Amino acid sequence: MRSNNVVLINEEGLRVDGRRPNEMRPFKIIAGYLSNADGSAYIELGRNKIVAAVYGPREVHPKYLALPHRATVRCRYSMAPFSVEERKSPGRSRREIELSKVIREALEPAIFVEEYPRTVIDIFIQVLEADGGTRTASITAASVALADAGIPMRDLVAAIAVGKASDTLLLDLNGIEDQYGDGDMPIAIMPRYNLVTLFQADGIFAPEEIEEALKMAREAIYKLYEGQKEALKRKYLKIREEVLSSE
Amino acid sequence: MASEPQKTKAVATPGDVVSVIEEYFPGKNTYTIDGKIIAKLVGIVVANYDKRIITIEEAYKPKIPQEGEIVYAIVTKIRDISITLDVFYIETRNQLLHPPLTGSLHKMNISGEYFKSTYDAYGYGDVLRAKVLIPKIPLILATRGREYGVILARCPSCMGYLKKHGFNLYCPKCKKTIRRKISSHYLI
Repeated sequence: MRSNNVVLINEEGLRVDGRRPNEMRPFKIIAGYLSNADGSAYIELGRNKIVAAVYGPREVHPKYLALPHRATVRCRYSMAPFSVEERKSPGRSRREIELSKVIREALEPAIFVEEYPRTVIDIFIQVLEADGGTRTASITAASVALADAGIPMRDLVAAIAVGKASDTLLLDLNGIEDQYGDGDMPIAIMPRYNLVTLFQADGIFAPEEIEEALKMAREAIYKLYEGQKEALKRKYLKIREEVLSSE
Repeated sequence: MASEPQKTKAVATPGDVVSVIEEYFPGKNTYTIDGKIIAKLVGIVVANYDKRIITIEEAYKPKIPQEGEIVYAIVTKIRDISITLDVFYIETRNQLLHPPLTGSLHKMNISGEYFKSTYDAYGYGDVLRAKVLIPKIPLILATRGREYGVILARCPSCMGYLKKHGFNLYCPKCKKTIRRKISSHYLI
């Protein structure tokens, strides 16, 4: 099977990196990765390496941005110049600006913003190494970082992308599949409520394909959700042990 | 005799169902949906068996002082009715706030004793020890009580540090006595 002359799925039904179509890449999540941020997280999803840091709630500057009834959420997604094969200009691109907005909108429904009026919650995301699906991995990491900062949340948010190549749905696209595939559908969900906070689609998908994609994404998101909770608990128990041993 | 709230060994993360409303009342750091009590934060589940309240003891607190916490602040603006301050330290948590938070001290909350105006109670650059009344930005502060008030001040003329002299402050260089609402924790 071919897509744009690049073989994305071989005769055995395996993808370029040897995964099955409904198989996600291995992942690792670490909570409290940075010492200076109020909350932080690191995620490795396949070859993606992303750090998310959260500062706040803190006072808004400039002050006219402060909202009297809720906290403002700001997000800055940026890719390091060395994160991709060909050097990326360190300036903010249109794509980065758009992704910052998309990530913010995916995370905002999970935060109790009304508890901190006239404040700001800053989320900084730095992509150290990119290999497809950075926006979804960023959402997963930023959600852990928010919880790590002690910000009240309805639920954690986890995200994954489903794509399409040669009429086959592929879970968790890597860089090549993202580039040469027939479609890409990043999905973010609050698993406790089964609420979708991000749903984008690039390419043509039939209604039944969308249903199937959501089902595939949901299964992967539950695995990520467990990973997020485990990372937070691991950090908390480590701190607790340190405190108890010092006493 | 009422028993102490019991700390369970369970660590909750946001979105975890910790109980149901038939069993407990939702306490601090929890919320309810469809009859379930859900954690808002990462922390230990604490159940009060007498009052039937379930709460989450937070692992990490945001850097915004809570009601009743003691903070240190610097006077940045004085008006007839209120004083604006930069809150830079939470004493109860031993935590520096960087960047500082804005605080507001109303004339009514300065002191129990009479001060003709806010200018008589505090001066620009004074470091105050205050209590948080309302933990929303701007933080509403109060300095009523002998342990609250100025803990460090400079002379408006020579900028030297003022020394405590009875109920007033005294500049050893200018030989001037300056009236302030002084805290019992005044440093010099």
